[in-house]
Amino acid sequence: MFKDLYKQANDRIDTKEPFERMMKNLENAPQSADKKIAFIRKAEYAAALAACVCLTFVGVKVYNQNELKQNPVLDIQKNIKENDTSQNKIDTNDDILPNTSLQENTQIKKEVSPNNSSSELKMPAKEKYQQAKTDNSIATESVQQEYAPPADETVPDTIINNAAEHAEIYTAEATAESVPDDNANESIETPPVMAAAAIMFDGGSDKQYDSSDTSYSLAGGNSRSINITTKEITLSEYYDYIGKKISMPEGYEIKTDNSKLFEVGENGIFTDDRWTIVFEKGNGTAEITPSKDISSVKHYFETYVTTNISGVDAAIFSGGDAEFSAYMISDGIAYEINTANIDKEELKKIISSLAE
Amino acid sequence: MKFLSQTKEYKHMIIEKYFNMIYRLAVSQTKDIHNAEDITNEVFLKYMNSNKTFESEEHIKAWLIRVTVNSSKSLFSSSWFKKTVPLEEDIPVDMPEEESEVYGAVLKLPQKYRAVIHLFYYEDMKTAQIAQILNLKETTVRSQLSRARDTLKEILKGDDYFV
Repeated sequence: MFKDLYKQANDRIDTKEPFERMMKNLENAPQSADKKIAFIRKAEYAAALAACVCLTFVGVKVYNQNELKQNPVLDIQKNIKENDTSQNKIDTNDDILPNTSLQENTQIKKEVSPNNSSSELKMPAKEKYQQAKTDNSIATESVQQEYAPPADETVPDTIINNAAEHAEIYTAEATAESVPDDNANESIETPPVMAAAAIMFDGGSDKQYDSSDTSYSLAGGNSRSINITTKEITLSEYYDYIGKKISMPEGYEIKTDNSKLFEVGENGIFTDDRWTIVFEKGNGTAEITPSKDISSVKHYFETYVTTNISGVDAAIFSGGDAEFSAYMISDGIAYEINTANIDKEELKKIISSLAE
Repeated sequence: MKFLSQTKEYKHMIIEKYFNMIYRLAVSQTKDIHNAEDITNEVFLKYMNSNKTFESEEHIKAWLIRVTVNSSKSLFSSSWFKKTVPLEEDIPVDMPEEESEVYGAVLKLPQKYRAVIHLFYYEDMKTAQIAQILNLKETTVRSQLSRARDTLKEILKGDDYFV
C-alpha cells in the first residue's frame, strides 16, 4: 500500500515543463558559451590595446617632464612657445619690464597676473592630454560596442555556473604546485592529485562550536568550498599517494583495492560505517576502512589529528543535515570521516577540547 | 565490448528516457522543485559534456542516479544553501490526502533515507543494486531501509501502510 501510494504521488509531479526548459538550455548551451568566450577574448584584446596606448602616452609625458626639470631653459622655451600660440593672458599684459632677463620676466608676469597659475601657462599640453584621453575613451567605447553581443542574447544560468565551475578548476590547476600530465601511471613523486589553490570552510567563528547550524570549523572562514581536482587513477595509485603523505595511526589501515577506477567524481559519498575520502570536484571517492570500530573517533582525533600527523594542516568538523562529519586537511585534500554513529554531545566535548 | 554512448543523438535519447526518473529523485532529495530542476540540469549537462565510456545503459542509469544524489548532498552542504530560507517548503502538487500524507512522510526523512526509500519503492531496485549505485554496503542499505520504515511508521502513526 505504501509503495502504491508513493508511486502515485511521484507520478503526479509534473515533469513536462522542466524537461522542455532543460532541453532548451542544453540546445542553447554550446552556442552561447562559444559566443561568450569569443566576446571575452575580443574584450581582453581591446583592453590590452587601450592599456598600451595609455602607457605609451604616460611614458612620453613623464619623460618630457623629467627633461623639463633637468633643463630649465627648455621649460622657459616651452612656455614662450605655448604663450605665443595660445594667446594667453600674459601676452596681452603690457607690463613687461625692460632690461630684465627672460626668466625674470616670466616670474614677474606670474606675479602681476594672479589668475595665471603655472597650470594655465601649460594649458595647451594639458588640453592635449584631455583630448587624447577623450579620444581614447571613445575608441574603447567603440571597440566595446563593436564586439558586444546583441542585447537579446542571454547566456543560460547553467552555462554561467558551469563556466564558473570550470574557471575554479582551472585556477586550482594553474596554481597547483605540481601538475601531472595525462599519463595516469606517473610515479608518486609527481602526485596524482592536483591540489587545490584554496580551501575555505563554512561554520561558526574560528575555533568555536556553532550550535545554530551544527557546524564547526577549525580552519575558519566564510565559505565552505573545497576545490580538489584529480584525474582518473587507480585506487592503489591513490592509496600509495596517501600512504606517502599521511601515516595512519596504530590500529588503522589503508585498504587497497585495485579493482576499480575513480568514477563518479563530483562529490563525496557519505557512508554509515566506514571512513570515506571525499573529493568535491574530483574523479571519485575512495574509502579508508578502519580495522577498529568507528566509534573510536575520539581516539582518532586525540591520537591522529591533535598529535603529530605528518602532512595534516588542519582538521574540522562539519554538520550535515542529520549527522556530523569530520574532515582533516592535508595539502589541499580534504579527507572526510563520517561520524554518524557518534554521540553528538561527546563530539562537542571533543571539539571543545580541540579548540582549546 | 565497449558500449557506444558518445553520440549526441544517443545522449539525447538517454536524457529523454531518464529525465523523469532523475527529476523525481531530485525532488525527493531536495524537497523543492526549483532546486530539483537545477540539479537535474546540472546532472544532464555533466552527462552531455562527459567523455566517459559507459559499459551499458544500466551503467549510465547508475551514474546518473549517483551524480544526482551526490549533487543533492553537495547542495545541502553548500554555504549558500545553509544561509538561505526556501520560499516554499511544500511541493506544489495536488494529491489525494493519503498520497500527500505518504509523500510528506518520506520528505520528513533524513536525506540518505529518502534516497534509499525512493530507489527501493519507486524505482523498484533491489538492495544490492542500490548499494552498488550509492557505493554502500548492502547491509548498510538494508539497515537504512529498516530505519527509514520505522521512522515512517512513527510519522504515519501505525504500520497499516506497510501491511
